[in-house]
Amino acid sequence: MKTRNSANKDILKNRNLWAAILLILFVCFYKPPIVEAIGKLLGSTFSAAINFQSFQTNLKTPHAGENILPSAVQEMLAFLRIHQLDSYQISEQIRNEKNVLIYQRIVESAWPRRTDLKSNYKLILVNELDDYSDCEVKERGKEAALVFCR
Amino acid sequence: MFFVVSGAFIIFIFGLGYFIANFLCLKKDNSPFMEKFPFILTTGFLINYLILLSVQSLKLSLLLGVIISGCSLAWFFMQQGGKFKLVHKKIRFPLIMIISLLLLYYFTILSDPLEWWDARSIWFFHAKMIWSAQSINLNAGWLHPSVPHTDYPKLIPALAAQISYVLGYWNEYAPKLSLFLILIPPVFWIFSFYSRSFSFLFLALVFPFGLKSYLWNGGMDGYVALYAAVSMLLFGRYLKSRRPLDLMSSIICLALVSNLKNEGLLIGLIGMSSIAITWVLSGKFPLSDLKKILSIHRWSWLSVIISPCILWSFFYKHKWGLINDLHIGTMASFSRMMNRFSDGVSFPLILKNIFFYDESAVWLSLVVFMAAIILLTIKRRYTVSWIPALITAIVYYVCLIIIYLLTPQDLKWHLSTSVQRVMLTVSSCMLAGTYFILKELEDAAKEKKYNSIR
Repeated sequence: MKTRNSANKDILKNRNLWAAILLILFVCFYKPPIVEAIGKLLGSTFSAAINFQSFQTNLKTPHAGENILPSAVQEMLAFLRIHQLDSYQISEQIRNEKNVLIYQRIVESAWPRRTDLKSNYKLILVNELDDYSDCEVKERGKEAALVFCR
Repeated sequence: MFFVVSGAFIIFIFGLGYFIANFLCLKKDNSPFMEKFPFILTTGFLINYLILLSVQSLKLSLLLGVIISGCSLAWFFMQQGGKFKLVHKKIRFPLIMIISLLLLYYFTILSDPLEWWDARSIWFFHAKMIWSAQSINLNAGWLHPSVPHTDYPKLIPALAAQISYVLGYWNEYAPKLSLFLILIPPVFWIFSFYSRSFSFLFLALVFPFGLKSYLWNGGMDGYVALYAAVSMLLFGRYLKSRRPLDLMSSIICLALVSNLKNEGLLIGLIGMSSIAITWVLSGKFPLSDLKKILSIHRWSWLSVIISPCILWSFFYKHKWGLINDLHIGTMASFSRMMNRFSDGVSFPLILKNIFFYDESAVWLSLVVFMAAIILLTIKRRYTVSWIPALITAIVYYVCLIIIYLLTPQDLKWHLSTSVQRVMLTVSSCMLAGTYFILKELEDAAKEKKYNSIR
């Protein structure tokens, strides 16, 4: 019994054990979560190793990764490329705060094609087509359209 | 091809850095190569950026860079001859850890396309602008009304643009290699603290892993926090060991951070001031020491590494009229600050958000720091290594409060979109300071054990 008590005391006095417990507690409470970060690093590396071909293809293909853009932006981007436009306008509705994601994404993904108030080509949303009845519809997708206004 | 470019860029940057670092600073330094390597690489990043800012053309900057880098690599191999030894047996384990960690980050950074708002809309949009204009000058489109935050520093965008230029195309993955490259030096520096101890384990868990997605999502905040903390760690070690390489490495971290983000410039200034204050107050370092450390060669090195920041922040920004969206220094910003301070709502809201925000760990870092300080006092141990980190954390914290008070944006929106990122620097500096206290406590325990055996 005495030996067990002294063994228990030794455990309590063990500095390394206490340090380990405190470190584990710290890691558990720390935000951003450390364990989550380690999981993500291992997961991504494992997935890249398994699909190495796809990992490599993504890196060496021009325009790869545009699939993460909103579908309306992907359509707009395709219109600008088909017509090889250097400049374009964006409709008021897209400029609206509500559509800030679409506006920002088209501006940056289309670059070096720039927005220009002098351009006759305008990117609009499909639901705006009625407002542009006097313009020629050059392209029409599911969500976006390209119109030519004089 | 991409993997060849990845390797080639490391060698290219190393060559650029070696030319200046070795010529001006490291000639008589006997530190292990593993500690010189991150210093050389960081110098290389700054030289590369300086060349691009000076000549402005991507093509010309790369051409000049390749010539300088090639010559200095030849010098490096001639100097080393057959004697070159990357690592001693003693430091093989940390090197294995560094390589493993960097491989994990390489795959993680490059696995996902650019998606996070700031990464797409600021940093890598600016990179795309430089790449498409093949120049960092006004032709890139800095004055175009649709481009946000054009006044932000361009070190990472410039590097990303150079990578895409060499590859010959733009996509949403490849430019992120710039993030990986910039991560190499801090990882090497963190593992230069390697010891079989809990304090090192604490350090190795917090810094490579505690910044989460901010090291791979394309934002700069994780890197600002990491470099600021590493700078404080290196200066803390300098206060103990007084090795000039630690002091110079600490300074170059601050020089680099001032080219990452506008907040980086602030942290650079605060960091330098806290280094100077600790230096003076600790009383251990007379002016003659400073004169010895900062020879004419090192002054030249210092002027070279601070040039990119001066060139961008104080020359081009004014020349091209690139204005910060916070409008700092205007009468309007001052009156906004006073109004928010006195309205009884905004100031408490800021304090509540920046201290208790769940994702920034500021309160936890403070608790851990205070607990460690109390223990250190009980043990009657004395160390000054943690002081610069604490000064930097506190002053930066106060500066952030001021920035939130004067922001022209909606306060709630500004807080909710930025607190979790910007406070990382405060918690990281605090944890860097905690490391030294833990180390001191460990040393105290070791000494006690050693004395009891004797």
